[in-house]
Amino acid sequence: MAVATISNVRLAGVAACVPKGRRTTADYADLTVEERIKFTKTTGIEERRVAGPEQCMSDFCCAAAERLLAELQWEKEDIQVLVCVTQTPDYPIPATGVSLQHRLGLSRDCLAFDINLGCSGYVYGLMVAASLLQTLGGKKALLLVGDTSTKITHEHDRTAAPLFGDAGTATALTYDPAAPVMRFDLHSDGAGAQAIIIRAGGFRQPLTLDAMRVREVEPGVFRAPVNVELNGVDVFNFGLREVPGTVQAVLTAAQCQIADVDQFVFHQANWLMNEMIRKKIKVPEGKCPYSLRLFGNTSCSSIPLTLVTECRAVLLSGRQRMIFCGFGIGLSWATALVEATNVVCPELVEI
Amino acid sequence: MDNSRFLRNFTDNIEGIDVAAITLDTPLTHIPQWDSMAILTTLAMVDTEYGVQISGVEVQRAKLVRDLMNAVAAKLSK
Repeated sequence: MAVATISNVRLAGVAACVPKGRRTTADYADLTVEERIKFTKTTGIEERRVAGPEQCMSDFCCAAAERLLAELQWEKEDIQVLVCVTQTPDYPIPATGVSLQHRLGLSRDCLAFDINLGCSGYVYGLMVAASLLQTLGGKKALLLVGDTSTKITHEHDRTAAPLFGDAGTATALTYDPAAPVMRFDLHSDGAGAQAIIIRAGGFRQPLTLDAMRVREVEPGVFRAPVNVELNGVDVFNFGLREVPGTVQAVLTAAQCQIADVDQFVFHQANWLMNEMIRKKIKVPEGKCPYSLRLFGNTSCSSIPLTLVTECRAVLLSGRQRMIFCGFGIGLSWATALVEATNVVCPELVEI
Repeated sequence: MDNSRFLRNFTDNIEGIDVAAITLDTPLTHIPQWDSMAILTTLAMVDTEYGVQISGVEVQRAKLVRDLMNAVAAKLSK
């Protein structure tokens, strides 16, 4: 797509919630001690948060949204749009976004639905929510983005399990004719559908007992067809190939240089991949925050979680021009340029 | 393609590797450090040094260090 612009919509706030449960790379017994050290050095991941058996993404999003709405002091009836982005919904149907409308006590006049996207999902959700707000010409929107990837990854799949952490986030948007324009660049390449996939449990390959049976797919790597399968090499190449172009497209459309942007908040894939991308775009180190070390790859939550854990001080200090860029499952990738002023950003919530 | 330069780039990039024992004809499976992390750092090296990308399939097909070099050379000649 050509770079799109959205006017009259302002980023009002962002909040994030993680489970209290922690797992460390140092304790991950499916890797040898040497492998654990090398894993942390390459991916940057030391720790991640893991949801308890009773905890769903909606619980984290709900807690983040409650905290955010309280700090914003918004009237719940003013929220007319609820967009939920997840690949780990509470139920196959109905949509988790609709149940969140009720749980948060929002009006029945609020439209609500889910978007099935992962690492690119925050930027997609931001554009969809902002577009709807612009179309409706008023009031407020909530974007609830979260995943519990640890529940779909087999714990003995050492090619995937030690990468992922769980989180849920809430982002508040408000109609504001004085808001600076937001710019978006969104892409898809379904040819890469096999790169990150759960093969069974949909209707192409229905849920059967066999689909739940765990296999040793390569020496020391265990998973069932209902678990996530990740082709790290293809995803790595994809990121290096596509991300620099989408970031550049948005900067060009905005007639911006790297120096004009305060923060480049990338999806937290892994340190090596993100650093390669950063160097290709020539972004200085200090402008690229990382939440990888303590939270791992949190799928669609990674950008708002990084905003809360790493950028809170700068967000609260005043005006920030930010690039958000997500890339991954689909394959799908997206960039947004957002000017953040007076953003409400509560401290990280833990439940 | 400068063979010795590729070999040096390859070995420089993998931590703990026995540089003296590795030639272009060393089977990748004989290199104890050749694991999924080494694959990623090699992809990163190929992207940085040669400006091309080798695919997951090409990495899987490669038996010898030389096969990786040939995969890169094939991309460069296109």
